[in-house]
Amino acid sequence: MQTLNFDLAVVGAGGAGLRAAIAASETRPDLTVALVSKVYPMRSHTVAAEGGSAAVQQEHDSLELHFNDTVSGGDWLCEQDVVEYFVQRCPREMTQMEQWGCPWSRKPDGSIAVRNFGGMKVPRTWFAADKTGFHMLHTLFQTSLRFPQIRRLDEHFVLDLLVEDGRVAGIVALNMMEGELVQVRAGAVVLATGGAGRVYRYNTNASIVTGEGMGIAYRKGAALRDMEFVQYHPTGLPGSGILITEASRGEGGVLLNKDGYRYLQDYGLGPETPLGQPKPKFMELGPRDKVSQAFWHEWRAGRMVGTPYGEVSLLDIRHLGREKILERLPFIRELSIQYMGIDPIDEPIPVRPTAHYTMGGIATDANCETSIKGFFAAGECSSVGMHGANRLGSNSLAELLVFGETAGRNAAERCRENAGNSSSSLDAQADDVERWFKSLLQQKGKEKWSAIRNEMGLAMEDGCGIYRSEELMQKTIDKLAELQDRIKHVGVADNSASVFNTDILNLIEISHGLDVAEAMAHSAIKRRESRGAHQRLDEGCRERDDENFLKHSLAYYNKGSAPRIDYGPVKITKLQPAKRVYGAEGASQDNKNKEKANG
Amino acid sequence: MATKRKPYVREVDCCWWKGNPYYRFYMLREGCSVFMVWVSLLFLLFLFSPSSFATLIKNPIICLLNFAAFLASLLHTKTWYDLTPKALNLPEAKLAAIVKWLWAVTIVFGALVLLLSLF
Amino acid sequence: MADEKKLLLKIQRYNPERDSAPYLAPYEIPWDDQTSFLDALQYLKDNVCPDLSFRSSCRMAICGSCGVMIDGAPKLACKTFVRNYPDGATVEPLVNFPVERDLVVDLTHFLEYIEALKPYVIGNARKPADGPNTQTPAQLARYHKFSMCINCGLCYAACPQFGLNPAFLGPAAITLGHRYNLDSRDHGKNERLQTMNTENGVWSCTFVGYCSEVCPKHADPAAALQQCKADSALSFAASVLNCKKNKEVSHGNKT
Repeated sequence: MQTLNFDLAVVGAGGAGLRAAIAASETRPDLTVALVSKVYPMRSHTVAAEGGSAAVQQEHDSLELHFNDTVSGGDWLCEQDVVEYFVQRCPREMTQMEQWGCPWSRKPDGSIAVRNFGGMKVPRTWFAADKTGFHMLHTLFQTSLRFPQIRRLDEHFVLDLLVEDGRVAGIVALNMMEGELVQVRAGAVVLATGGAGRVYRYNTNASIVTGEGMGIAYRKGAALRDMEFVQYHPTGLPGSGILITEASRGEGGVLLNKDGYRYLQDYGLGPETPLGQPKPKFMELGPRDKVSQAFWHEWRAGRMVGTPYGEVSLLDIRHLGREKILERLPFIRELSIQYMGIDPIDEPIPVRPTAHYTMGGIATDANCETSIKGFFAAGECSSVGMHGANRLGSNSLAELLVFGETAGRNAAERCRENAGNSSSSLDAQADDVERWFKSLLQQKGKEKWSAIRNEMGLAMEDGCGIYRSEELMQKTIDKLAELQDRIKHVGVADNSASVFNTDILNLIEISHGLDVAEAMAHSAIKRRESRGAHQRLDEGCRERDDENFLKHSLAYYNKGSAPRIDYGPVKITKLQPAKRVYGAEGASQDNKNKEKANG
Repeated sequence: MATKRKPYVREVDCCWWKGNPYYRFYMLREGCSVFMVWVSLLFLLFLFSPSSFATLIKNPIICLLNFAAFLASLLHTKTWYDLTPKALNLPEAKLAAIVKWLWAVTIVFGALVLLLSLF
Repeated sequence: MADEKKLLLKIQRYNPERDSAPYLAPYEIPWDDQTSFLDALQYLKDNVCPDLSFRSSCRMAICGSCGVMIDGAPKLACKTFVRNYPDGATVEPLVNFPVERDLVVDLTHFLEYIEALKPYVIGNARKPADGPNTQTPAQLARYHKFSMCINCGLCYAACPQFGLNPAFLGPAAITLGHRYNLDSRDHGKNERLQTMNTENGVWSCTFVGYCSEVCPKHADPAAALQQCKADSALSFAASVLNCKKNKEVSHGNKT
């Protein structure tokens, strides 16, 4: 097996990974950095983000307001010191992106334009039309080319971490084109492998978002934190699940039921705001969890529109007019036309909630370091603690930058501390990985990974969807345990090929996906309350319970059996838990708080 | 360790352009240059031997050839004008106007030359 | 389902460890109005031939992974729909690239050419503390179209010049370089022109124009190349003039 030596290895070349690699190279220009990804950087799922990235920008906005929106949006399960750091770093990062060439949309005078987003009190979402993630990813990728010390290992699939004495020492990856394993030694590793949306059947995520980054860390003993919180985005295209950005509501789009009624006003987000005058934190600008939950109730009441691809609500942006749609939402229009045959200039877009984002992930401290020394995580695969129980739209692109930078910078400092790993012991670990990989290639059986993936996706939707109950979650848990058993009997059809063998990689992805799904389901069933994206229908669990559950869940891997669920404290600094309200009630709460503050 | 890769390189054959209408039109466009060579030769003849030029030009085959050259030059002009907006980085509306102007100038100039030669 | 619609796809297969050359294999797929060619490929991988290799990621025409030839034309598999091919279709890997396996081609050179064009802001010393640059919507519009490239490689498969000369830097890479040349925040144009002016740079382009035709994002690489040629010609003219001027200056100094 080939051995490559680097100071730092970054796994995943999406927004967070690229940002980390650049930050490390800027912090310590003498470092050598491996940027390892199972796809070319431009294929990473950051590319599909549409709406924008949050950073306080306007005079009448403040860091405190962004902080309050994020913490209340997360239903108080956020690490408040982390959120404080985050909101403070956002403007710098967004400006840095601008200086690296990101084509942010502008006002006529050439300054940065910002738009409204759900759950944000003031417009503070920077955007590049409705392809913000695409432009950010390409800007980061292109900027990374400036740094000769960053060596990309494109299409290298990471199989395992090398860990010695509780310290990370590198990774073992499969060079997909060669079909050979490579040992990448590094003094520190930053994991930025994205979420696990593909454990759900119907989701907005790219097919590569399979969660094996989380799975690898989890099997190595790192905790997965707050995994029960999975965000349903209210507006995905029926059938494909393709994302229709929240920016379409930020710009003034409205959601209708089959009677043409703006149903959100009946779910604590009203009163109805005039058409074309979106009001922050009212109606369509409510947070994603609430908007998806409203859909669920309307659907149960039989007020949604039937289509061959399930019941849908209607997202109407016609009143924005052709010009604004072409300027601000051209991609949305292209997607609707291509995938639905509907031009949103003339007709409303059919949409329904779809699994979108994992709020939880590999538990890290505020410096993005995990419980394994020298092993950092950033972006959606991580849980640095900023999203709590529900993420606000446009906070995740900002997270990639802020915590990608933080992880890269800190890892750069860490990676040279580590000296004197026993080479033979690392070789032995790598050889174990190779043996395991080779034996997996020869695995025989009648099961298919595709069937296991499909059944897992359905089970997760049934048990860990928008609304959950003890009974349904238990069924999901039982199903996942059954699938864990069956996956051992998946026959590998492509067992002799080395070059670009994706059969074996799909199997590995799904096996990690199953572990991650189990962490989600078990964390969920143990949280006997409703908070943010975790809403329960069973007796005694319908309300938020701060007394017993104002704490992070921590899932630990237990080989061959259910994960062990533990809990950790939530850091509360400035904003004491209060009732989470939007619409008119939210406005009156804000006023009361203001009066109180003024004495 | 020996690689198991064996990249297969598909050779480009000399008929690469035949299968695709877009390429065929490209070859036609570039083929217009043959007629330009013909017209240049004719002019050379005119320079060195105006009398044989005068007889030659009345030949019906030469007439046909010249008519074909005229069509070819029209086609080439059209493709050239259609290409012009690509080489300019200007707003769409302006580009459409520029192409219109190019045609207007061409027609006026062509008419002038025709008039001068006839009278 | 008894009334399920079926369609015949011929897919190019190639396993370098087993086959001496690629061949076409027939497969039947079920489809409905939403089925894209990527869905069809995934159906086959899931149910019929797990050893079929192809690249895919976003399935919404923004990541650029799934470029293939469909009936001889370069297309994104995710954005091309089976419903438009009622008589079936042939799916092959992108032409002009070496085939590694099935529908997977080697993109190494393509990535190298992108790097060679230095697609990043050069010569702007502004720091985050100084705040964002000012860039008016008109300045943004000058390069915006060219920033739409998703690096899918369809334009390379469409370019006969690249097919005949694989050292040609090609449409997408030059478009990206040009995108930065046009950016009001950048001052690296002269640096990039040095690469663009080389034999395998812009002058290898004969304006076939098919690159812009197949571009799934309307980034119009053919336009970028024509504009680069204009820039290249102007910079050549300027260098000749400068040379003359410099000579005069140096002569002047001597006398």
